[in-house]
Amino acid sequence: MTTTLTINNKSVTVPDGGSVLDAINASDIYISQLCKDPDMKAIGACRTCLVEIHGVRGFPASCSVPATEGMVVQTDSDDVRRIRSGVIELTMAMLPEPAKSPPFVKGGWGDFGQLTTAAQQHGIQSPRWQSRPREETDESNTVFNIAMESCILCGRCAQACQDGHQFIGAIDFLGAGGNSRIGTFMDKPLADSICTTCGQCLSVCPTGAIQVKEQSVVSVQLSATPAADGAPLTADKLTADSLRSVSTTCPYCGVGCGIKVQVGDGDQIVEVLDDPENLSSVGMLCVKGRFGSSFVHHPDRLTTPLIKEGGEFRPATWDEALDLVAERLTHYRGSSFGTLCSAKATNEDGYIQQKFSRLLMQSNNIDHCTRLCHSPSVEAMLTSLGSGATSNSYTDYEDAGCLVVIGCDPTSNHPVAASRMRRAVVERGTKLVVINPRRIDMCDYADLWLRAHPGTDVALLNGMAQVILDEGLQDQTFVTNRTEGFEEWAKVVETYTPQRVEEITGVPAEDIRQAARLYAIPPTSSIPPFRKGGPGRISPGSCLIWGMGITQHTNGTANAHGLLNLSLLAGQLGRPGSGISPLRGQNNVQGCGDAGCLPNAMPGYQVLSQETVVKFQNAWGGHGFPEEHGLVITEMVDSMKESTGIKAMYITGENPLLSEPDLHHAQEMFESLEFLVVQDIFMHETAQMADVVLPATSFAEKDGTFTNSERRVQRVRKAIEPRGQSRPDWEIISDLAKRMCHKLELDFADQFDYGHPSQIFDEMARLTPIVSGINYDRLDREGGIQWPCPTADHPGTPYLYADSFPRGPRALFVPFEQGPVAAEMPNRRFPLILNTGRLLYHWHGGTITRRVTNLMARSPELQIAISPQDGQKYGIEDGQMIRVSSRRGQLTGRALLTDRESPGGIFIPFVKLSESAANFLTNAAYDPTSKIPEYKVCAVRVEAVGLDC
Amino acid sequence: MASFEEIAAESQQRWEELTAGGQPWIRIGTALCGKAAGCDDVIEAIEAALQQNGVAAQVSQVGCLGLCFAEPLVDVQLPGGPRVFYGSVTPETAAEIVANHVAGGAPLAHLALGYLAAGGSDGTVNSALDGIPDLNQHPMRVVENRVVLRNAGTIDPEDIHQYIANDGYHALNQALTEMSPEEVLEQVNTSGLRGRGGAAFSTGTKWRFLAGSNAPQKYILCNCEEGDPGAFNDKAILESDPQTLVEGIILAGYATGTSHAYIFIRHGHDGPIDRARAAIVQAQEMGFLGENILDSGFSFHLEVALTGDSYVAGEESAMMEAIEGKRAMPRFRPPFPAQVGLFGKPSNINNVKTLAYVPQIISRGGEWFAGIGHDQSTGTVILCLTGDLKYTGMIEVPLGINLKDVLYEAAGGVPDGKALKLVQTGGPLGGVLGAGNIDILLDFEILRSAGAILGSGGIIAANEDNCVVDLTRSLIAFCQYESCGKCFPCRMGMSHLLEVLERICRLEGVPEDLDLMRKVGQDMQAGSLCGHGQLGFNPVASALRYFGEEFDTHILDRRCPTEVCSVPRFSPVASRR
Repeated sequence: MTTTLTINNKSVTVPDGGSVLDAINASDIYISQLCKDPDMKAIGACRTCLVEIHGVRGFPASCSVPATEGMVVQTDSDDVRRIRSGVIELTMAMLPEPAKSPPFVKGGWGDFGQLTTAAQQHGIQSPRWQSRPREETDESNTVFNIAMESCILCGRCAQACQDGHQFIGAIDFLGAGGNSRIGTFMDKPLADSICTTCGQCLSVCPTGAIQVKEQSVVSVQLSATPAADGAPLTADKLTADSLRSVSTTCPYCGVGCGIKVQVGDGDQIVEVLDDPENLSSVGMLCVKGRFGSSFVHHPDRLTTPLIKEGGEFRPATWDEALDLVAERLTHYRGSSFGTLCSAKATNEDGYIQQKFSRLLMQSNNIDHCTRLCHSPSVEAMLTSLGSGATSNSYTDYEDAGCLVVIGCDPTSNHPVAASRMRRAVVERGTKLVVINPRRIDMCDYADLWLRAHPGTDVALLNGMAQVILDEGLQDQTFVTNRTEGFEEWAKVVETYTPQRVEEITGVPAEDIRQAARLYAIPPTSSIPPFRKGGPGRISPGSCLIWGMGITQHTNGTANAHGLLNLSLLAGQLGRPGSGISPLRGQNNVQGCGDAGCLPNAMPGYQVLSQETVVKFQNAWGGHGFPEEHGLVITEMVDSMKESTGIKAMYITGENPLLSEPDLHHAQEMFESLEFLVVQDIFMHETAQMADVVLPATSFAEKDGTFTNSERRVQRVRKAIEPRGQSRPDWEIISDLAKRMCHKLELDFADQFDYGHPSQIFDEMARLTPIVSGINYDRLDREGGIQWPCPTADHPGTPYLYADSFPRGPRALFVPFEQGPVAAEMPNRRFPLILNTGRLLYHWHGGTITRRVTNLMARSPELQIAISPQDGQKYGIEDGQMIRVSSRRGQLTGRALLTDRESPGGIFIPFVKLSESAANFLTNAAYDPTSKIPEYKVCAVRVEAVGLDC
Repeated sequence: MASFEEIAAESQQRWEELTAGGQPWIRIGTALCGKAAGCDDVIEAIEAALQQNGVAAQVSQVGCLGLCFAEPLVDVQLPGGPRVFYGSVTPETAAEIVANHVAGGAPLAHLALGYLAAGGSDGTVNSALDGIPDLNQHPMRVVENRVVLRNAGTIDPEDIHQYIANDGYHALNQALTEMSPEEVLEQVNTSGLRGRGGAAFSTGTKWRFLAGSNAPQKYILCNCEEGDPGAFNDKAILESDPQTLVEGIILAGYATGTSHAYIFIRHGHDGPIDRARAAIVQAQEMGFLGENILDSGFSFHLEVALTGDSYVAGEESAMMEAIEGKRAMPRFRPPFPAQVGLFGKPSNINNVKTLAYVPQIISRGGEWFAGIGHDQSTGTVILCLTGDLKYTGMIEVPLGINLKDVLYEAAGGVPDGKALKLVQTGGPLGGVLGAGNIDILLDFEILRSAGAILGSGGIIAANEDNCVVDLTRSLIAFCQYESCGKCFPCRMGMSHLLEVLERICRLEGVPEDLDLMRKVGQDMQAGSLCGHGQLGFNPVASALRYFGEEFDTHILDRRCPTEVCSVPRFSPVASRR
C-alpha cells in the first residue's frame, strides 16, 4: 500500500510505514540528515531534517514523523531554512578551526562528508561561532581511528554498536553538555574495551571521523565527488563515480554475510562494505568480513603452477603442470585415489571435483572438512530426521522464546549470528541458556550458564530430557504423531535424574531443571506461537544452537543425538522460532556437502546406490562409476601406508597438515603418498609436500555460489581479474579432466566442457531436487534462496520439517548412555584438559588471516588461556611464555590468565602462529560413528619457559 | 492477612501510645534541611542527655515541617500535652531542653519557636502555653492549607502505622471496597488536578489515556528526579511522608488498570531513596502492595529505580531510557509514552506531588479539591522558598495566592533592609521576574502569560546585590552542564550561549552579542528535541526583557553596576579539558 504526500507543492507517493524523511528522500529534494542512517532507526538528534507540516505545530524533525496520507510538507520555507542553517552553523563550530575557513575542499583535507554537503546546500561559508577544543583522536585500535576532532556527536556509531546493528555496546556517549563525547566504558582507549573491531561504526559515520588506518585504503567519503543532482549522498552514489562496487558473499564463516567489494584503480580491492540488502547479514559484518580481504592481494599468492624437482619447486606453465598431473593420475584410477574438496570454494567447484573423482578417477574417496567439524551432527540428523542440515533460519533466533547455545562460541566464530542472538535477548526478551565449560562472551547475556565438565554432554542432555518427562513438559501431540522409538529411549533417559547428572557433569540439579523448563516451554516469545496444521499444545519456540563442542568428541554422535532427542521431545522443530542449528564453520561447508563432496552421497545427499548411480550415469553421458561408498578423510590418511590404501591425492583449498589431529602422525602418513597435487591460493604445510602445486583464484576472482549455514544459496561474483596465472578451481579441474580423457582415450571430455559456472549450477540443479528451482537469474533478482527449493516458483524454505521428515512421517528417538567422557583423561603427568577452538581475529589454521595485516595486528601471537588458579598452581604469571606438552608434542605461547577457563582446563586456538599449532598436541582418537577426531579433549601439562626462549 | 479494620485499629492504638502514653515523645527533623543544619549531632546530644538525666522518652526521626530556616528543629510532646517546637537547636541547647522540658516538664519559652495543639485521645484539645506563641500563627504557617504535607514533620516516615493512624490507606481501602476504577478516575477528573511537574497537564485526562489502553502490560512511573536548584518538595515528600505517595500510586494503578509502577529517584538522593524503599517494604508487609490487595483481586507492584547523575533524566522519555538501563537521553515523540513507553509498553508519568494529592482527593472528594485554588488552577501548590528571604523553607498554599504576599508576608521579605531585585521561578529553565512584576497570582495561566512558569514550585529571590548578567550566566552554565548532549541545537547552543555570557561578564562583550544570543535562542527553541533545549533560552530571554539595561551597561559602559562581575568567576568553558 502507498501513501501520497505533498512535498514542496509536489505530489510524492511512497510505500506505507515510512517517515516523512523517507518520502523526501524518495522525491528528488535534498534535505540534510546528519544523524539518520538509511539502515537504522531514527535518532532524532541532529535536527537538520526539520520541516514544516501543515497543521502541525513547530518544526518537527522529518525523520521521526510518520508519513500520512494527504500530509502537506514544506522543506524550504524561510523559517525552516533559517533554523536548519542555524543548527548546521552550530555543528560546524565543533570542527577544528581550519575547516571553518572557506573554501571547503571536496575530497581533500577539510572535507567533513555529509556536514560539508549540508553546509554548502545552505550557503554557509564559515560559522560565526568560536570552535571548540576537542578530545584527542583514539588511535588505540589497530585497524581504525576515531578522530574526535571531526566528530559531530550524531550518535550513529553508538547506535550501530548497540541496537542499530551489533548489540555490542563498546561505545556510547560519555559526559554531558559541552563535554559530551564518544567513548568506551570507564573512558578507556578503544582497544581496551569490548570492541570487536567489526567496523560497523565506521560504516555509518557521516563525517569520516572514524577512518581506517591503512593509507592505501581510500575512504568512500573522501574519494567521491558530490552528487550532481543534489540528491542525498548514499554510499552507492558516493562510490559510483570512482569505485566499482561488486555485491558478493563473504569468504570467511558459514554465516554467509553479504559484502560489497569496492574495486579501485589498478583492479585493487580498496574497501569492503556491508550489504543491508543481504537476507542473512542484514547489513552487518564482523572484523574479518570488513577488514580481512587484503589477503587477495598478498604477495605470497601462488601465481604460477609449481612442479617439484629434486625436492625444490620450480615455476611451470599450465600445460606442463596439467600434463604432468594428467599423466601421473592415469596410474591411480580407482580406490588408490583420494580427493579432498574445499569448503572455501564454490558449489560449482565442489560439484566438478566430485564429478572428476567419480567419473574420471572412478573413486568415491571424496571428502571435505565437514568430517572434522559437523560429521557427527550430520550422521545423527540423517539417522533421526533424514537430512543433515540446519533446520531453521537466523530469523528464528530472533523469533524464539529461548535459545540454548551449547558447545559453541558464536561471538568468536559466527559473529554476525551472535549479533542476531544478542538482538533476540536484548530487544525481544528471548531467554538464553549457555552450556559451555568456558565462560564465553555470550555468558554475559545468558539467563542461565551451565558449566558442564568436558565430555559429559550426553548425561546433561539426557538429564534435561528426564526433567521434561518428569514434569510433563513434553509436547505429547508431537511425540505421538510425529516420532518413533520414544518408549525405548525414555527407558534409558529416566535413570538420568538431575541429582545423578549433577554428579557426572558438575552442573547443579536445579540449573538442569531450569534449563529444561526454559527450553521446553519458554515463558514468552516476540511472535505468537504457531504450528502448521495445529492444534496440540503450542508453546513459544526454542532453538538449539551448537558447534564443535558437541561434535569434536569421541561421544560426538551421541551428543548430537542427545540434542535431537530433546528437540523431538519438546516439539521444538518445524515451526517458526524453533529448530536445530549446527552452526557451520566454513563459508561453503554446507554447499560442499550439498554438491556431493562426500564418500557416501551424491549431490543433494542422494545416497550412493544402484539407483542413484544410474541416475547420474544417464546424465553424465552414460558412463558409470563405482557404487560402493568411499573412505572419509581420516580413514584415507590412516590408509596411506597400507598397500591397498590411498597412494595419490588431489587436495583443493585445504591444509590437512594443520587441521588433522596429532600432526606428527599425519605428516608421517602424507610422506608415504606416491603423488600429491595441491591446488590453493597460498603455499602451506600440505602444499610443501606436494609434487605439483596449482594456483587457484580467491573468492574475489571468480563467479559461483556459496551456501551458508541457514541453507541459503548466495552468489559469489567476480570482482577483480585473477592474480597472476591463477584460475578458478572448476576451470583447472575441467581442463585436467579433458587432458586425461585425451590421454586415456575416453570419450566424455565434453562432460567437462563448461563456459561459465552458471552452466555447472544448472546441471547440478537438474540432478539435485533440493536446489532444482534455483538458478543464477533468480539469485540475481531475489537475493539468496534457502533450499529446499524444488521448483522455479518455489520461494525457498526458511524452516524444515513443518509437515514431515525426509526419512518419513516420523522422526526417530535414538538412545545413548553417557560413555567414557574422553579417550584421554588427565593424570599426574598430564594434569590439564586441553580444549581447542577458534579466535575472532583468525581464521582456522591461519593460512589466510596470518596474511591480513589488520587481523595480525589485532592478534599477533598465540595466547594460551588458563585459569588464575592453575596459573598459581603451576607458577605461571599472566603474559609469561609457557610450554604446553601432550603425549604427542609440544608448543610454546603466551599465558593468558582468565576466568574464562575453569580450573583444570586450558584453551589454545588452533591457529598456527610462530610455528606453534595446537594440533601437535591433540589426540587422533575418533568418534566411532562419524570418525571425527577428539579435538576438544586431551591431557596436557604446562610449564613456564625461561627468559632465554 | 489481617483485615484493613484490624490494621487500622492496631495503628490507632500505637499512635495513642506515642502521643498520650507513658513517655514523652521527642521528634527531630531529619530531612535534607535538618541533615544540612546538623540534626545528627543534635540527636546524639539528646540521647546522651536522656541517659544522663535518667529519663525514658520515645525519640523519632521525622521529615520536614517546612520551617527549614529553623532547622535543626526539635519537637517535644509530653504525654497528652501540646507539641513544643525548638528551632536552630544545638547540641548544647538540646541538653538544656532534655533536662528542663523532657525530664523537668518545664518548656523553655526563651528557646521555643512555638507550640502546636494536639488532639487528645478523649477529643479534647490541649491549649496554649505561657510565653510560647502558637506556631500556626507563624507567617509561614498562617497562609498554609496542608493537603500533601499534612503529615510532614509530624509522623515517622519509616513507620507505616503512624501514617495509617492519620487516615492513611483509608482512601485505598475505600476505593478497593466501594469504588470502581472508573469512579476513582472520575474523582481525579472532577478535582481538576493538574501535573505539578511543570507542564500542568490535566491528570485525569492523562490517566484516561492509559486506562483506555487494553495492553496486557502497562506502567505508572513516578518522577522524583528533581534536579532543579531551589526545588526540594518532591524529596521532602519522600523523606517526610512516603506512604502518601505510595498510596497515591496504588490508586493510580487501580484507576488505570495498571499492575506495575516505578518511583524514579535521582541517584545520590539517599534519604528519599532509603525512605521510599522502606515504605514499599512496609506497604508490602501490610498487604497494600503485591497480589490481591486487601482481598479485592487487584494486584500491584512498585519498585524504586535510580537514575545516574543527570538533570535531563527528569524528562519523561529520558527517564524511561534510564529505567531501561540506557543513557538518559530523550526520545522523540510521537509515539507518546501513553502508546509506547517504558520497555515499549503504554506508560503514564506523574510527578511525586501530583500523585501524593490523590489519597486526599479520594477521601475527601474531587469537589472538595476543586474548591481550593483559583480558576483552572485547583488545589494547593508546594512552594520552596530560597535565596534572599527572611524565612526560607517549604509551604503548601492554595493556588492563586499572590506572589508578593508569599515573598513579603509568608517569607518575611528580604532581610538586612535590602531591596528585592528579582525572583526566579520554576527552576533554571523558568526565567526571572523583575521586582516590579511580582504582584501576580500564582496561577498556571497567569504566570505563563507573564513569561514565567510555576514549574516544580521553586522560588529563588535575589536582592539588589546580585548582578543579573552573572545570575543568567550561572543559570546557563547549569543548563549547559546538564544538557544530555543528544540533540545538536541544545548541546551546541547552550555552549555558545554560555561562551557569550562569560564574555559579557568579563566586560568584553560587544553589541552584536545580544542578537547572536537571540538568534541561537530561537534556533534552540524551534529545533531542540526536548524541553531542556526548547526552554533553555528562557533565563536569557526574561533577563533581557526585565534587565536589558544592565546588559547594556556591561557591554557599552564595560561596567557591572553591582560590581559582581569585576571578580573573576569559575568558568565552565575555560575549565573544559
